[in-house]
Amino acid sequence: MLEPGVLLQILLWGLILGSVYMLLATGLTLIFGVMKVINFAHGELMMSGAFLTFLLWHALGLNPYLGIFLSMAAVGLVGVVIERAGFRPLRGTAKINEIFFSIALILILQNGLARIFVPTFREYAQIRTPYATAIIDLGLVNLRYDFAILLALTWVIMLGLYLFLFRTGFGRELRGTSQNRVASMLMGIDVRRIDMLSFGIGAGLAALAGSLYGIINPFSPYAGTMPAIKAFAVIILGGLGSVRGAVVGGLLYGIVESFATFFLGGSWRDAVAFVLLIVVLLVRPQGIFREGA
Amino acid sequence: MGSLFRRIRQNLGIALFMFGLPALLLAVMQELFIVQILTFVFIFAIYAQSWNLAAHSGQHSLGHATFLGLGGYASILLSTRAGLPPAMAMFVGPLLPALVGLVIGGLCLRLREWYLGMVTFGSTAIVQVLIVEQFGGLTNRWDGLDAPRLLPPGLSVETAALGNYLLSLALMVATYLVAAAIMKSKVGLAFSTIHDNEVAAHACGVSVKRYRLLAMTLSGYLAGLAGALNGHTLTRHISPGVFGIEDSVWPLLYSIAGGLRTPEGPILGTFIVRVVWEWALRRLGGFESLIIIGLMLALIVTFFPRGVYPIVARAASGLGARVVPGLR
Amino acid sequence: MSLLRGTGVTKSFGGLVALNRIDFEVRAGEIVGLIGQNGAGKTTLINTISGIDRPDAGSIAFDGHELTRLGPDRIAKLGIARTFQIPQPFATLSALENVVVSLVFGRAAMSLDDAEARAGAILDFVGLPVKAGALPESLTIVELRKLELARALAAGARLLLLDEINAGLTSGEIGEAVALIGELRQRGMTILMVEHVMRIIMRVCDRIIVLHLGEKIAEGTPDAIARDPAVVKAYLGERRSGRGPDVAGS
Repeated sequence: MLEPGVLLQILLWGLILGSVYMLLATGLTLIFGVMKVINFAHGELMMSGAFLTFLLWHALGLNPYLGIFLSMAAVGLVGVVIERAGFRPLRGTAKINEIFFSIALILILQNGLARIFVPTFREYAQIRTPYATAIIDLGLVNLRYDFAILLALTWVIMLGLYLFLFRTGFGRELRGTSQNRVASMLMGIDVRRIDMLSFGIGAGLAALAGSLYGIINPFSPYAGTMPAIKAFAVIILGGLGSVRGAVVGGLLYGIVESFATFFLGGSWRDAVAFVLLIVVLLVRPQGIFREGA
Repeated sequence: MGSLFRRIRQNLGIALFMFGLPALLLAVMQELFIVQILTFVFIFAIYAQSWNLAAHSGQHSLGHATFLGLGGYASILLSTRAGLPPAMAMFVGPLLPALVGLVIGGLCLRLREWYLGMVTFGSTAIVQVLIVEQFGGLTNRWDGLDAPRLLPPGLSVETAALGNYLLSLALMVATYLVAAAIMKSKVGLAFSTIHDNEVAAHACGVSVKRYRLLAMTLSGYLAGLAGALNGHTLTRHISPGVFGIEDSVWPLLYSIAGGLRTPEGPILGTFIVRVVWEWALRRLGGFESLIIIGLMLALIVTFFPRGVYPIVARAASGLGARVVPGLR
Repeated sequence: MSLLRGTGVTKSFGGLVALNRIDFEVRAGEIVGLIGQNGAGKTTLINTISGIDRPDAGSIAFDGHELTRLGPDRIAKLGIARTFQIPQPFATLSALENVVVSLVFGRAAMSLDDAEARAGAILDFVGLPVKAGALPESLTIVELRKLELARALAAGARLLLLDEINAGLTSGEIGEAVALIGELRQRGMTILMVEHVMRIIMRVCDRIIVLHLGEKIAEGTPDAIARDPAVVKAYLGERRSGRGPDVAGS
């Protein structure tokens, strides 16, 4: 029925898409795990990253694969500032205030980007890498050179994250705070610093996801909202605070969406995530994995 | 019923003022576009009020555009396809989003608080697809539908605008009184307990399930009413774009800015936010105005989480008026 | 006359068995104490009775009704009210309004107006008259506990479940608490109370049930319990914090 070549192509696209979702979901779950904060503006951080990489390439001719790192650092820093100036003062007030603040962030970031972006670039832009046209012939499928680099890059970063979380002092403190904030405070961990760190990392991962997205897709200041919300669905399913759940869930979801788009048509693409979420929540209100690392 | 009257006597006074002042101002208003801006404020104050009611019961919907849009679509379809006069379709159509509110509320009963936000957000995406794809024949897909006017044809543009203005104002005040009555009744008390502490609410004998569903159904209806009103008066058209994120965010903004969980808050908030936005739009530009709104929201959440209304209320009571939010 | 009877009540959380086939009974007009080390299952038992947790096995009968299948709000309406170990007031409602909630939605099912009138009397009874209009955030912990009690009383219950309502009280406050409980007994209230403060348990309870690691290890009058070797062992054996039965301090 379906040629293996086509199947593989859908799968590959699913992996790339899944990488984007995985990065977003991991960032979100780290932030939630540590701060128990829901950052709805994650999609806007994602697009900030995309835009920054794009700008560095467009205005300075910087190879996007280098620009990505600068973009991650810059957006990561922005994340730290957002946590310190915005979320920290709200700690202790009603949980709903954090959601409202996130929405305020969406408005500010999205329209800030649009203000700079739209007059010059109109609707969409895309980051063109030097390898945009290069293709690797794998027999059954053609793999775009970019895809290969992006997949490799993503996994390198994720490996780095793993090493950070499990092999460094800071990483241990982060995981501890995520599991038990009070106990961590009692043990002398500076949880406020961990808050800023986790938000910074989350933002940096979002920026990477955005740059990735911007290389494979045309993007606009508004393109981040949907992927971010889907990433939310992913971490709910995978378990709030669970990095493993975010990684597995993100990848799986990317593949599911790729197949769904192929078989059901483009307009269902966005709805699939929520139908899935609602179905799972009905059956298993606590998600698929348990909470925790 | 007598005691409820006693409780909302104060609100009746405010309602009179709320209706009287803009009605009188109409006489001195010169510009048509101000009339239209205010009509917009009245209609979206209803929308904000609907969100506020659900929020009162702790159900903070992040996808209220679902109800807004479905109300508009249902009403327009009823008046174009089923031959219902718009004035009637406007009140029957919202029964659809009311039902959807019931269903969504039911789905989320077992879930933790902010999951409702996610499900409602997702519902806008799902409903949009359904409207465009599955029901595309009925709804004209992305082109949308034209809406018949609410008032009888043959009126001049000015007269129609004034008519819409007064009608929307009346409905806004009516919704305000309904909201006030609810908040000061046993139902409102139940809503508050659910908002504050569901476990304790259960332990006190509050039938949490029943009241949550009631809140969502009512909220869906009122939001649908606003959508229908908007379609038949201001925009005269509806398209799937209504299910976008913007329209889900605005009622939140209006309610928070004005004062959550008070019946006056959404109205005050809609007015203030809208006026600021319109001013910024003309002076600065579309994006800048939204950035300013975002900054406003951030500031309000950080420094004035109770919104503007408590400040207004305190000032008013300082001037001698007894304006006390709450049960009594 | 048996008001509340539990048979074989069992509840596990994951791998942890919190309650293991507990049988218990509370007769009308009694004051029964429920004691045990932390983690013995006391609060879990209260939770299963009040409907927050559903037992995995066993039955709980109250006045002819089987509770294990009912939701907490239905159970509250049947006439069982409880307080929480950590007070759970309604934060946006005043103290008076908190009490009104129980009067309106509990067994009394009053109208709002009647409830507003009656709430004041209940607040007086527990000793919180001046705080009627205050929000919970401005109340002290002891006042919050009194509010919890007021709210539970307002529910019009016939059985009161008190969960460590007296922890951390001063001597004078303990006297006040004992007097209050005495008052309640005089008015015909049946009480099942979880307590650590032994002075109160020994003075007010007709019977005591002792739980240890999910099992009922003893049951009887305060004097019998104080002498029960199993109880003494359970407390002394694990005794590190000195939270054992301080019988001498009666």
